[in-house]
Amino acid sequence: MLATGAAAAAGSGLLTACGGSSSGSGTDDGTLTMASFPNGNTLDPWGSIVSFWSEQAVFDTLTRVKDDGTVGPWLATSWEYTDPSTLVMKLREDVKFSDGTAFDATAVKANFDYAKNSSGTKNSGSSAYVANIASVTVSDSHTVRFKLVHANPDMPWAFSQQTGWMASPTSLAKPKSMVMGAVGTGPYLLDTAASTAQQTYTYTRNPAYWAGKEGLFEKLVIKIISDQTAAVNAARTGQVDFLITPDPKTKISGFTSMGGAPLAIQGFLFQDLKGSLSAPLKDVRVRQAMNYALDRAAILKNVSGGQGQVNHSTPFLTSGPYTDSQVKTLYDYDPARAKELLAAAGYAKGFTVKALANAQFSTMAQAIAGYLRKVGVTLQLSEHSTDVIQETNSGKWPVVWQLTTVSGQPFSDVSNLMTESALANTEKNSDPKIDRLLRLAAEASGTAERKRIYQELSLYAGERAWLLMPVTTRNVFQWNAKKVTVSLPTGAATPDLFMMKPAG
Amino acid sequence: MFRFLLKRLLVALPILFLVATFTFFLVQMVPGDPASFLLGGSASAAQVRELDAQLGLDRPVLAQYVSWLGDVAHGDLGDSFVSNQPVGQSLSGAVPATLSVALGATLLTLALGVPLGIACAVRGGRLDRAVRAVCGLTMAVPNFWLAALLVFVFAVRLRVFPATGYVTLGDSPTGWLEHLVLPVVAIAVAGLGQVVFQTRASVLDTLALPYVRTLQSAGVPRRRILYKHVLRNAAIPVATVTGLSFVFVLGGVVVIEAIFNLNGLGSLMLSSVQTHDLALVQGAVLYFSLVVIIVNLTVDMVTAWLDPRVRVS
Repeated sequence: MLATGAAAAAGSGLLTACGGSSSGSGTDDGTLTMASFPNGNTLDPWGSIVSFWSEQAVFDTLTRVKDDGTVGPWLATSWEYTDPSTLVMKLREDVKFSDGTAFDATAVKANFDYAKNSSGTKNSGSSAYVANIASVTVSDSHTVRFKLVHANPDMPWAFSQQTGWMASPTSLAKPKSMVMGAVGTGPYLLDTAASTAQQTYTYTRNPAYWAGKEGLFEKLVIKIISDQTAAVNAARTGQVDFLITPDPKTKISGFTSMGGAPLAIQGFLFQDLKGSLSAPLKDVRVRQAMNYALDRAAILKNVSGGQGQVNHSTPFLTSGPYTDSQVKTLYDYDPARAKELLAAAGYAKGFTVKALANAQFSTMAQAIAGYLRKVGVTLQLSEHSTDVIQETNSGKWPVVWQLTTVSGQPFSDVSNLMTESALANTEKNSDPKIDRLLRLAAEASGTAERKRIYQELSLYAGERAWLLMPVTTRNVFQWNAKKVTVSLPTGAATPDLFMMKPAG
Repeated sequence: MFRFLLKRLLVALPILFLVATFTFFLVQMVPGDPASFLLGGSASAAQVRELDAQLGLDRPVLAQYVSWLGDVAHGDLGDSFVSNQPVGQSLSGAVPATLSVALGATLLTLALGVPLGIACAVRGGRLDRAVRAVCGLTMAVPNFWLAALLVFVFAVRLRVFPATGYVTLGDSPTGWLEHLVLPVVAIAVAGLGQVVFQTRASVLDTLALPYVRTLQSAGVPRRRILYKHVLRNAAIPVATVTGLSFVFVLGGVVVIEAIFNLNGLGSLMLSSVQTHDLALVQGAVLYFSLVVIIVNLTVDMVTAWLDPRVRVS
């Protein structure tokens, strides 16, 4: 695959909002103030557990998602898979980090060497991709070669996300300096004097930004507000211009509202497909029966406030281009069919199974358990909070809670849930057909061929019923239309910083 | 007085040691493993083991304790598991907001509660009944509810005070004051009743003592009896209640910090627990304990100053 720098026209899914009814925080003074969730205590792009706008301000990515949702060039000008597990990237030659260090192939290698250090990257958005990079080789000053552990056609997309953030090698040499001294090639410079860790991050426009000043604010302020009601109050009183709102019905005068693509699939994952902890789960008919027992539309409406889409227990987007049309009717609510399947599997009287639940998502777990009870299946929920990851990985739960943000990149999404190497798959379940289809997709010669394989995989993955996930939810965000315009590419859940531009 | 202070300090030090020890072992019992959390669900067992080793969590708990205690004795609370920054640095960033709110609320409670309590005790009648009724009501109002109401009225509707945030005193004294008004009022209102009732009861008790009757019969003016002889004695239980109230405010400040996005010690501790940043949790608990011990020491000193018998005993 070869991608060039040609810019694509804005896709039909481009959502642009501007204008507004009344004043939020007043007139435009060139400053954008955003409410953000806690960012993991550090601006280290590889060391932060969670990270987003506070890092995007400083770090550029190797690639960038275009308006039509496809991946385009950014710090990398072009790339090519020389074989399914080798990716060669050409880099821009006119870029410098804000500390004066040149951006080149050595800098890219330094970043991934740092990310793959003894403790591994802590960043949840990049760790799986970093783990799949076997080695990074400098081919010449501005060409870098990634050798992958397993073939993965989604690496260029991953490089448009956290996996592609490039920090200055000089700062990588002093990890502690990155906590409040992030140095990248990005559009803004951190004003450390006006910033307080975990409270407020203030940035000024980078006057030497290689991509120019178009679409940039003179000043950017990111306020960390963990309580969502406090964030709404801050917006209502003009203290912030952009926020993610917990309740889509929240109205803020002068603010425009938009929902992102639904990408967060929620529900349970069957870990014990071999039936060693719960014999019934070995039978695919039982797992399918449990899926037929769920009224997905009702759960979406009543538990998730209607924000999102029903999910048919696949890692594929319900309405994505790679999803077979039959998936949309897979597991339509049918308790009678569920009982039939249970009877056929020898469990006409139902059965009881233990499930690990996350206390933070108790309502959803209770709703699923309630529907299963109606067909005779008792889901014994055990709620955990601080130790939920440890419990998930303990191997002692036949069914575990799972909230996974899918990317819309089928290879990654299926690999992360339904392959033997998937880290969520602690029981190392595998399905030869899933593995084969993934391999074929990775090796496919063209987009159409890959799309056909993904569609076949979407239906097959759903029918195997490894998941019990009824909904895919979305973020809803609002902004002061007098200060900022926001455009969201097709398939994006939340706008990146570069998608926000000064109004007017 | 100096000997009294020295004695109290000698008692405080072992308490601090016991609290530090208790905290350390209690924190070890928090379910979950920091390395697993930090690396996320996608980490391999080998990566978790490596990070455990890097953080020193693979050593026996007793060895970790000895090492931690040794560092603490040298003023080093260690580094945050999450940010790698010194714990002391994180705490020093969070403490001003929490102490400003807690001290502000305590001072406001005293400034309003003591005069009202005295007035109730001395004047009685309608004023007494009215103040007690209002204070009974304020004690029943949860501070988080009042905080939300104050934000709605004074920040969202009237735009008199900011809804969220904290500005340090050094950055802007007026900004600091503006940002503190609503959280301080939210906390102070809930604690007002306690001080009013305590002052009122204490003044009434003191007024009923024989020495007050003696002073009255000797013709000493009523005002002089009240301010010179009654209040000093009546202030002792009020000082104790104020100290307890301050500690209580510190313990419950996390909710107020969340509502006003104050990023104080309570919020830091909560997020540290959520992110399994045990080094920070231990440091924060130790810091809280130190503040409580200092407050108790201050209350003891005030009590000893008010009542010389305490010093002698």
